Amino acid sequence: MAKVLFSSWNGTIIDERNKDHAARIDLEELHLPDQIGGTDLKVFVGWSGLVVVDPEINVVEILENYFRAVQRESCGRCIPCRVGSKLIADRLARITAGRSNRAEIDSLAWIGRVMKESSLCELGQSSPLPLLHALEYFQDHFTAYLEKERPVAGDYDYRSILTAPCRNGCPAHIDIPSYIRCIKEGFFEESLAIIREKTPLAGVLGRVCVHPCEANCNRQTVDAPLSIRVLKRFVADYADHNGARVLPGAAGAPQAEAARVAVVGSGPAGLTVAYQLARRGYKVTIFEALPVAGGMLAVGIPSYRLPRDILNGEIELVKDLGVEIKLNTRIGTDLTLEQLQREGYQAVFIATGLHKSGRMGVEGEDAGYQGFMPGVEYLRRINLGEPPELGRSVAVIGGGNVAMDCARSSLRLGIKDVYLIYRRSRTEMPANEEEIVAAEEEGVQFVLQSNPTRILAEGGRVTGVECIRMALGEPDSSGRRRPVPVEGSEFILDVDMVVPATGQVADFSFISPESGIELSRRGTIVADPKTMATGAPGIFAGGDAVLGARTVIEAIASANKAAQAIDAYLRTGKAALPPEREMEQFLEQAGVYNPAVLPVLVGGRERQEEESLPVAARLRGFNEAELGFKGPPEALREADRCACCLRLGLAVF
Amino acid sequence: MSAVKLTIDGMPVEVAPGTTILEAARKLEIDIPTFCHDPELTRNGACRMCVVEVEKARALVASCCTPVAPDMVVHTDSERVRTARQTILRLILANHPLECITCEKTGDCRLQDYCYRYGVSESGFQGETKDLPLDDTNPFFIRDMNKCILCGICVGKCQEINGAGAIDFTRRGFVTNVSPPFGDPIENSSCVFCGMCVDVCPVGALVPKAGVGKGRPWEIEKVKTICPYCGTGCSVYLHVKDGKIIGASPDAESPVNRGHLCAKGRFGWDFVHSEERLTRPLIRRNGVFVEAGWDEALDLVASRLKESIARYGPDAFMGLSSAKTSNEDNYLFQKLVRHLGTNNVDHCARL
Repeated sequence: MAKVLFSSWNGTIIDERNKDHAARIDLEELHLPDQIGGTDLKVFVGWSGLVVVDPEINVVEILENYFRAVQRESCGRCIPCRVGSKLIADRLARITAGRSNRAEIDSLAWIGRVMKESSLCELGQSSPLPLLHALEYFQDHFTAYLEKERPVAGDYDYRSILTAPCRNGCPAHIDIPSYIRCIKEGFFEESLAIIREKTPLAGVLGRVCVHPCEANCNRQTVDAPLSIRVLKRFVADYADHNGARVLPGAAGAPQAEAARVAVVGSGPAGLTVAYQLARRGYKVTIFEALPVAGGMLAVGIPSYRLPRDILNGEIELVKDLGVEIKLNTRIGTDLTLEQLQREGYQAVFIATGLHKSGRMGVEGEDAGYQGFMPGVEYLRRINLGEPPELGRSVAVIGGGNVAMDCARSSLRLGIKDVYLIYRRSRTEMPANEEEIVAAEEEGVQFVLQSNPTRILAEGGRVTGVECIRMALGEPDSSGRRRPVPVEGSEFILDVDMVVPATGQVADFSFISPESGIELSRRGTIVADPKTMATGAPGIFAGGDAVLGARTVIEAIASANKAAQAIDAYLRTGKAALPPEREMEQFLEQAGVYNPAVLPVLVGGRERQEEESLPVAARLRGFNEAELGFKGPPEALREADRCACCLRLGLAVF
Repeated sequence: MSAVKLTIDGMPVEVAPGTTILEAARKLEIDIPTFCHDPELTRNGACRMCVVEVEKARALVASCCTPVAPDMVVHTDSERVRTARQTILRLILANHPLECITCEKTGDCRLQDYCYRYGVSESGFQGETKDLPLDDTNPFFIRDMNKCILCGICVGKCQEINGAGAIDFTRRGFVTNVSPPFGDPIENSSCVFCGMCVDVCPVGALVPKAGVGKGRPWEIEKVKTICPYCGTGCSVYLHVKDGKIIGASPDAESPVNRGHLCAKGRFGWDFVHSEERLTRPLIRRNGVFVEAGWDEALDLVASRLKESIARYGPDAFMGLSSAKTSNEDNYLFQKLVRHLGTNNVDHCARL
């Protein structure tokens, strides 16, 4: 276990240099990984300080390398960062070359402080910190170079990464600071191209992403986070309105003899893998069981949240890259996995999602009553234009996004009384706050702290649901308070439809035990979280099929990892990660957002909200409910709120 | 929306929401130094000279692009602020050639002014300097990017005001530069030589060629006049030394051009002192132009006009006036032509 020698990480000084090795604290306590690409970490230098693991290192030459990296990333606009980091890097080089003096060493702190105090963005404001800490706690490392016998140069490997709290918080690590900066400068299409480095689905994410980036936005400690999702939607819509087909450049040299890749499922994960591999020159075919492409984006998410022309436009982008989508082709019945491999697909990516409902364990749910329909099936039939026979009232069970979709869709189909039964209170609902608020506004009646116990029926038709009141006990492992039934509190809700939306499961009947693909106890595919490789050679998997019921952006993130690994596998026979992914993974573990560090911001700039359709107009059909920013002025105002919290990290190993 | 109340240097001030700290301070007649600020351009907050201390903020903030907030307490000239501004000036001087002795901008240079104000005489941070080639192949202005402090106002004027988009920031870090695409000379770019960039350059990176060596800013008398080229009537200052024009600049206060000028008004004044300019009337005698007196020349023109009108009628004659003459002259000119019996009178700026 790696031990910490010195750390100034996150503002806490831990100096263990005078302790025995065994008494020093573990690196793990700082949440820092102890290895990069299989090699032991020696030092980590970054926006928040300095972490030293290896006692043999000299911080001066490491800092020189760090400031060379700052120079590479500095946009060059503001004087303190542009000139300051250059002066620091050059001075450090002179020190290590033995051509410096005491006064010059002392001037480093002066330059570092003005960078920290007055740089334009957080790259310049945060990068002097490790230098200032080193000058305070490793002064001897600097003065050692003034002696006749200078320290010898170390043999280090360096890997740097530029990130930001929002970017690190995004599972797919979309380069948010860059695309917002492009918006600030009026380069809307360039902004979209940056998003499309990671996924073709910019317009989709701009509407339905749960935006973990915003939860990681520094600005929330000042007033409210940036409206990152709507900015993304803005650039996608702007290009659409202007008929511009925006794609980033190719992602790699085309293969001389392009390998063929099969993708099973055309949801966000499948589309993204196909897109990324097509950009690298591979020939990709997607096999889709349903008559439409898009997976849950097409048959799960209702069109009032994601209009189909937006989704289809982005699917067209993928097709334009040469990807073929075979609809109505179910792997397992129409074709088997083994057949795919025999037919010359050198790699297969499985992203079939979770299209079946989980069981609730409630009496009557298996009786086949008319009026009882699981949520995913309910949404699928509505979205495919074959809605089931509707009643006058419906009870949707569950508090997640699928439940909200079922309830809000029911209102749009003209069902008068729509109840949503959830066993905990409103604050514990797993659905997005925006979704919950919209459901309330539109008239969904919440029946909280209640759980169904029995489906009631007469003559095979649902007549109601019996529920029991729930009290909230101690928090469980998820941190939410555990609901406990209140004895004797049963009550009956008279409804003619019951739609449970309490969980989804996969259908892996197409995976044979001999295939080598392992399934987990949760009913998902077991894949290496770094490469998304399954136990079977050449077969990768991602999206909900591996992650369980998660989000679009997590599906995309898994797809990007898989695409890189598939590319490496097809080139070298080994599913390895590129070096930049290793650094991303390092920071995923280390974390970047730290609410204790206040950004250099003062209020005065209100968050711009997107327009939305009035409730009455929303309920008249499946018209899009949220409308994005009114126009470029709102987008520019919102982009202008970004403090550009760039953070540069350098791992030394 | 109601006004925002805040305190700047101990003085209370009320401004509209969205006002920047810089604008609020200017309302109080507090002079905050700036290089990159221009009220008509998108704020970029690059130069950091305008940093001020806002109580409760983690670091100094750029007053030019920070909007006021209720109950904000701002210090524009505290020790911390002065030290930061001094250090920023020293960082600029670390790679700015100190050629002030011969620099055209001496006396009108904001870098000089601020160094004087903050008592900065040298960088103290000797480091690598730039060695970029001089771009002086065009006839209008010289670009010496070694002197550029990258405030970016020239880029803003070119993109947002003129729309030419001839220059932008290129590269990153220390080697960041302002340049036409691919580092080409400005002549080969989409530049239309309006010279707005030259007008706003706070240092000597962009200087008009025609004025080089002709006079120091304090020797120049600025004479306000109207540009004679077209009917727009831009207000322009002619820079006059010893009775001779050595330059021109736009009038920022003029409601007509609001500090903008085109290439003609900005650079096209050299005809005034041209040796080739006609100063006396010439009459062609036996195929050769010969100097004549004014009376003789006017008599000749009058007699020939009368002859033509008598022979062919008044509509055989027309008068074409010039935008270079004054409104009054044009009025009299059309009077004359109509008096001669025709309405055939026109003007080159009647577009």
